Amino acid sequence: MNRKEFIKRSTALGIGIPFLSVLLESCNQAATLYPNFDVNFSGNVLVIGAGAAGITAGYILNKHNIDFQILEASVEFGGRLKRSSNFADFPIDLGAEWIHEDPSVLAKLTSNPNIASSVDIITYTPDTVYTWNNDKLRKRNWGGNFYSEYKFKSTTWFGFFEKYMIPNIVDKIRTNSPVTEIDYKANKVKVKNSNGESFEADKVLITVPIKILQEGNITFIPELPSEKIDAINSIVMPDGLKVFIEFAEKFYPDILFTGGFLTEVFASDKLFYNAAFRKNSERNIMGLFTVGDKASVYTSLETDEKIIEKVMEELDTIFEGKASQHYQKHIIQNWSREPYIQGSYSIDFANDPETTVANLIKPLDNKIYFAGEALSLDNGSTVPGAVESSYATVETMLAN
Amino acid sequence: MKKLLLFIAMFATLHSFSQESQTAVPLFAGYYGPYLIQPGLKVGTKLELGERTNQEEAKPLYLSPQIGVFTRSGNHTSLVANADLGYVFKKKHGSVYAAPSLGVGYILAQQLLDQSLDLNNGEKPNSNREWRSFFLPTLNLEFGKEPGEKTGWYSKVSYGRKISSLVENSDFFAFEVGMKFLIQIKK
Repeated sequence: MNRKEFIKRSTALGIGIPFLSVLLESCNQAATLYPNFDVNFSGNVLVIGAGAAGITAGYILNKHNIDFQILEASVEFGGRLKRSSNFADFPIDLGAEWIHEDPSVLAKLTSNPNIASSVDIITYTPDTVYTWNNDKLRKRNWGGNFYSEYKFKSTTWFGFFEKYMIPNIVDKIRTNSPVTEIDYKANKVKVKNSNGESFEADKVLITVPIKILQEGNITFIPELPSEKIDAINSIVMPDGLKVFIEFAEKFYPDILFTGGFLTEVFASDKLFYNAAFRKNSERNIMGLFTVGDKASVYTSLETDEKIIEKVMEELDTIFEGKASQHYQKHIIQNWSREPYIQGSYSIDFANDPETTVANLIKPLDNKIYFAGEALSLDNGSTVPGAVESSYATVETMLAN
Repeated sequence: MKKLLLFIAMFATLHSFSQESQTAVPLFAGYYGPYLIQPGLKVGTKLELGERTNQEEAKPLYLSPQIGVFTRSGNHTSLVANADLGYVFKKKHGSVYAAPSLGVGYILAQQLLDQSLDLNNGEKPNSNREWRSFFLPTLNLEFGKEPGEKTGWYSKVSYGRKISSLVENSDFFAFEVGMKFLIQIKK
């Protein structure tokens, strides 16, 4: 595992790397907003995908009075930002949940010094940390001293974008519009969706999950250059799953690792956690987050019923039947089964990360651009990374 | 704040006791690092309660009251007051020593729970904190060099339990390193 992978993996959930957590805490300061940039472009832009990167792109284009439209494949904007508003007495992040960086990054994301608003942030330092290792449940509460994260207190990542970035661009988002073809051989780029509709633009920004490109869901005319295809295929975006279960009693810790503390905190690929932690809620909501091979164990099951059966069986083994005894209800978000997502997020590179990202970022004929969490070298896998990538790509796009 | 004043009063009382019985008062101050990564400072003194000696070794029994502060940036700030009781093992005329001890202590922590973030500038003007207190029994092992005419040094590792009625108990470990001084007091 190289350094970048080490950091990437351990920051995927903000868990891991004790010393990184300490560094993160020491950056408790005001945000530097994204700087304004010069615009030398007056045409129109099509943004493919209305996830974090796509919404951000629209937000910046709108700021610069550029004519644009966002085509979103699914019924709602958000992509891997997704919210459940009615499962508990607080909104639940079914997708991206942790902030991963000092919360001041939220001001940077909106980069609007005129916003007269504030957002409440939880300091997620667990009081109780257990491990389930070699069939033994062990208390590792000292581990809370090596864990630090931030979460929204009364909103979600989805809610944050919905409130602060969407209002100015909501009219420009066209949902139920899965793009199937991008023809960039002429001066204008022609885009077709699965409904048979056609769109034209001077420039196209592609922000769909990397898996969608890997699966060939979008046909490019002419075909993408081989270096671009290699770069796309060298990014690993594995399975991902989140499950939330409400129990009548809280018999579980704030964080439960299924494995040794050190190995799991670095792997960051599966944990059970107290989703109601410091949420001002009396409800007992446990979350399960898992990505990669550990997620595939669940996502490969045919139905959600089989997934919850497996999760409950596991919890009953760990907590001696208390899970079934106190079970009330659950909600499952199988990201691998989402037709326009098909996985979790980028966690690894088969080839050199710098070369891969450089090849992907490079525009095609100054007409086709790419952005998203997978293209952020410093903050890959995260919402801030997706936004950062979008800012950089839109700046490049509008400079030409 | 009342609790802090109580700690200081306790420390001052012990200190004044030492001044009456000794002409040179040992004081120490150093870096205090619970969990190695939470930086802090600690000061204390050492009171000799008795001594068992033979031709080779001196083994004074000591009580060491200490107070300190440590923090985890963006998370908590904690005050600690503790007293260690143990033996110093050293050559009769030597200055290098090892000192295993038992400690009892009390931690008063101000824990950050959540904070409000201004979106226009990323500042966090308001935060919600709660006070937490912990009883802290520890096992300690200290190595060092007793102050000769003026200064010495010490390093100490501690292992114990943070015991609280508010949150689950947890293991505690800490590392200390610092300087020792002899303060001359006229009788």
